[in-house]
Amino acid sequence: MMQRLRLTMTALLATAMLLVGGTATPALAQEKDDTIKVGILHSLTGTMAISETSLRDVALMTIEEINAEGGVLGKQLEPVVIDPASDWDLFAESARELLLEHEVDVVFGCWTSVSRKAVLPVFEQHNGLLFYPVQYEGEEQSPNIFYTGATPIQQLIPAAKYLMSEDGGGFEKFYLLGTDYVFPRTANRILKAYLLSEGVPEESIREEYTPFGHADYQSIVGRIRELAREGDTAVLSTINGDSNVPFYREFANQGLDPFEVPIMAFSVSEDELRAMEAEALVGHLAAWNYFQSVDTPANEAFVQKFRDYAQENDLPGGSERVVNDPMEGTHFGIKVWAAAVEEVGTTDVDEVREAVLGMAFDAPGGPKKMHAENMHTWKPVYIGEILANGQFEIIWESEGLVEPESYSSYLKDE
Amino acid sequence: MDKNVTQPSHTRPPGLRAWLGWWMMITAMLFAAPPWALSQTRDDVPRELRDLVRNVATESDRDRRTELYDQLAREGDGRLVPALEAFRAGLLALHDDELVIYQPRTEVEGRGEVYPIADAFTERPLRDDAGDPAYADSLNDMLRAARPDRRMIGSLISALSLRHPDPERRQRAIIQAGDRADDSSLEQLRLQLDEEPARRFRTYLREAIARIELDTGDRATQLAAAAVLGELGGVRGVRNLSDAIDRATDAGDEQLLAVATASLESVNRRAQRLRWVRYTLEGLSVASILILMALGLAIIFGLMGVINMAHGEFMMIGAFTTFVVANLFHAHLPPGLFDYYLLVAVPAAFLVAGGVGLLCEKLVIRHLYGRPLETLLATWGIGLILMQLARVWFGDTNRILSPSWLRGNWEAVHDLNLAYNRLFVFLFAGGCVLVTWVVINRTKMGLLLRATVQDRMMAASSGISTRRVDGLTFALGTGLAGLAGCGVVFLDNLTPQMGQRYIVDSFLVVVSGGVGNLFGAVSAGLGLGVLSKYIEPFSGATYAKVIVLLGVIMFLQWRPSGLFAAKGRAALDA
Repeated sequence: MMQRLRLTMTALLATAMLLVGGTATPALAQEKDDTIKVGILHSLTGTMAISETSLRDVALMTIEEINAEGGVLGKQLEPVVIDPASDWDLFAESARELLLEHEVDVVFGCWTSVSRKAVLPVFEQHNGLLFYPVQYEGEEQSPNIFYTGATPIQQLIPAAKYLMSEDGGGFEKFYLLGTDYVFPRTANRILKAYLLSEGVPEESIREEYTPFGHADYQSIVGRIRELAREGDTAVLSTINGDSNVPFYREFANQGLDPFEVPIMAFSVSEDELRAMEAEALVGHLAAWNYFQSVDTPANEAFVQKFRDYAQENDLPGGSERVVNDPMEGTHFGIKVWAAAVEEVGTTDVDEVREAVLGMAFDAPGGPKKMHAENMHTWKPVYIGEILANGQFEIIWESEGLVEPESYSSYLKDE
Repeated sequence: MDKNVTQPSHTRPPGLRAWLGWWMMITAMLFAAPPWALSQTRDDVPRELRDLVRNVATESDRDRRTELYDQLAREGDGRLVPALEAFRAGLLALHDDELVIYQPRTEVEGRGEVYPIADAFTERPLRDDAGDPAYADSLNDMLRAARPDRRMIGSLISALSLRHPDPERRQRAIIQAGDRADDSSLEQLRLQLDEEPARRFRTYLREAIARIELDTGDRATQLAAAAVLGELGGVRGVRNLSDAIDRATDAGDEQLLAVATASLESVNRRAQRLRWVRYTLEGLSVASILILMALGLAIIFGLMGVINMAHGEFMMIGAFTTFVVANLFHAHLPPGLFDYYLLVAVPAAFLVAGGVGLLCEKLVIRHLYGRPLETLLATWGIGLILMQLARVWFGDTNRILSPSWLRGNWEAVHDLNLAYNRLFVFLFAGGCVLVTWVVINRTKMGLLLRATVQDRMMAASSGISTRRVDGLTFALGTGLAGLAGCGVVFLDNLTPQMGQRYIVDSFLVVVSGGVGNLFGAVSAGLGLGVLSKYIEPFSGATYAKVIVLLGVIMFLQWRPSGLFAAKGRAALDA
């Protein structure tokens, strides 16, 4: 009896430890006046860990880099890492913990829109500052958040426009396919409004959603096939996370050709490609504002630095690691914030905000600038084609930087 | 009571060992006669044609390129197809002034990071002077077709492969000739129709010819072609028939209008029927995954009464075992053997998952029999531990290479395609059900298992070591979960948390099938799989899941013990 009880308790304890162990691991929080604390709020466990862990890695690398160059205002940056475990409620709590307990001056974090929406009231209430590095659906603008990812007009619209152009293949029918949550739903609303405004008839646009983690794409690919039989069909995919693997596999196995029926993905980057079989992917497309293959010396140095960092710190993947758009966004977000603090000589949120607005800077992917008013970033737009080595070849780029738009003009009429 | 229980237990049914022998023999034979030795030799390609492809691939002026494509269409033949396909996919490069097809950069022992390369026309790996495979350290001139060129090359390839020796290629080329309504291929197609012996190709040829004739022929030909398309009933003709209807309406040609409309209706009727066949097949594929998962659980939960929350993780172990075996094959054995790694991976997945299961049973679960709540918590903890271990060892991003025969699809009947990987999982699930049935009903171990399940005290008093049987039964169940992982890994992705996705579904299947009944689990899996695919077209994937779940809840209200009422220990406990 006792033995059984003990075993049960052990099992329970082990479970509890695993659950708690993952959730909150602040880096050594030494109380020192000669450091400036910065918060890093990314899920390191749970469903989003696959994407967000890389952002934590690149943030720590950037902070290390700034510290090696003498820090900010003569002080070293001290990262405080909290893992909200892909749990949206925990994001709000962790944000509060960072702002009130650890008294960080700035936070770099979040990936999914739902997590950002969860922390937004916390940052507004306590006048904190968040740098959000991922492309998203727009329809938001908070004075306490800088958005270093793309808004729809910097990613969705140019991609659809490209597919309709002669160079892109002159596609006329569109299958909008997404994971069932806020980003794909809003993104597809915008895309649909745009396509309709361009004269694509309603019956040539299909829209469909699958739950998170969906793995059975037989019927959906079957329907894409049916639509594609009549020719000129492209897929606009906002499928997120690990569902992409079975989706692309099914697509290839049902014999759909990437040049006849291309998938334009908005959430598949170099990092996600690491988990996929290249043969099923070659020739498909993705739209981003940065690719690892951007060919400049500055970018080469950035890529190499991250590889070295990953190897030195024994991160999974080591020197094979790749960088992607949100990682670049995280990297230059930290740099921009540091430059702004140097400029105004304080970490006060209101003064830093003024300094960041309108700031021009050099990012690994090339020069960019912050918008003077709407908290977003001017970025170039690239369309890349997937190569067999898991990288993208840039086949189209915008002329110069594209202005961000917080609220999409295509939804204004609704 | 089952009559087998009363039989003397020393009758060892023939089977298990003999089958193992067969398995080993087949495996050994395959390894002894390496399949790459049989690869066919190809004719070499004359210099002029090689240079022509080279010129088109390196030409930067678009108009000049278009001219060269035309020249290729006139002068080229099927032998140029591999090079053109590589050019289209961006896998062509210049190496020592010759066109080569390269593979993604890989680590080769003694050479570091290099590109495996093959001749662009024969697709044979290049060899150096010593006869070893040659590699390129770097490739500066990678040649990739501009995106607008891709479709042009696609047509070119299909025109050139109309006489391709590979039937699959030829079939695609025939279909594409119809897509392009290319009357220059007409003669070639008619010629083939006369000599083509296989009936399946006749359908494609007739369809392609009719489509081209309907678009380009004179009125009498058009009438005949419209009738042929209606008779064949293939959906590819829909576009041509609709165009013909438009033309006939404009021209006031009532005869053509009537024929084309009738044909279009018959095509649509056939398409509608085929759609339901397709939903059924898709449902069977979903069902085969459910059954694979539920099989092990039906033994552990159904027969032993253990609520094993770690069942999904045992599946994950099987999946990662497959992954490791695939990687070992890839790294240490000749490439020709790679396609056969499943022969090793399947038993390995069973043994590893079963082994870990045996260990868990010995260390934890056997101390908790008869205490469902504690078992539930303990197995859940085991699941979390296994998942984290996998995360530490393998990380979150792993890709598994499928054997080449699992890629692509097979057109079973006109317009109905079956993906090979789904077909494989279906047959694999069927095999697993069969083997499990044999093990339980026709082997000594199955006999002991059933005896223990039906009456533990009685079994123990007739000299059966029930503890040992419990361990082996648990190992059998987890081993089956490992087999499920080995199959599922070719459909789903490979992550440490992959098991979580299936655990609820498998309990659903076992419970609604009737706890303790293998046959029940199989029928419930079939029912749920097919049902969900019938619902999905009307409700979308998200709601299909909800509706199925609601359906199961209502069904269990009506028949709380599932499709087939339980017998055995679980029933006694309840």
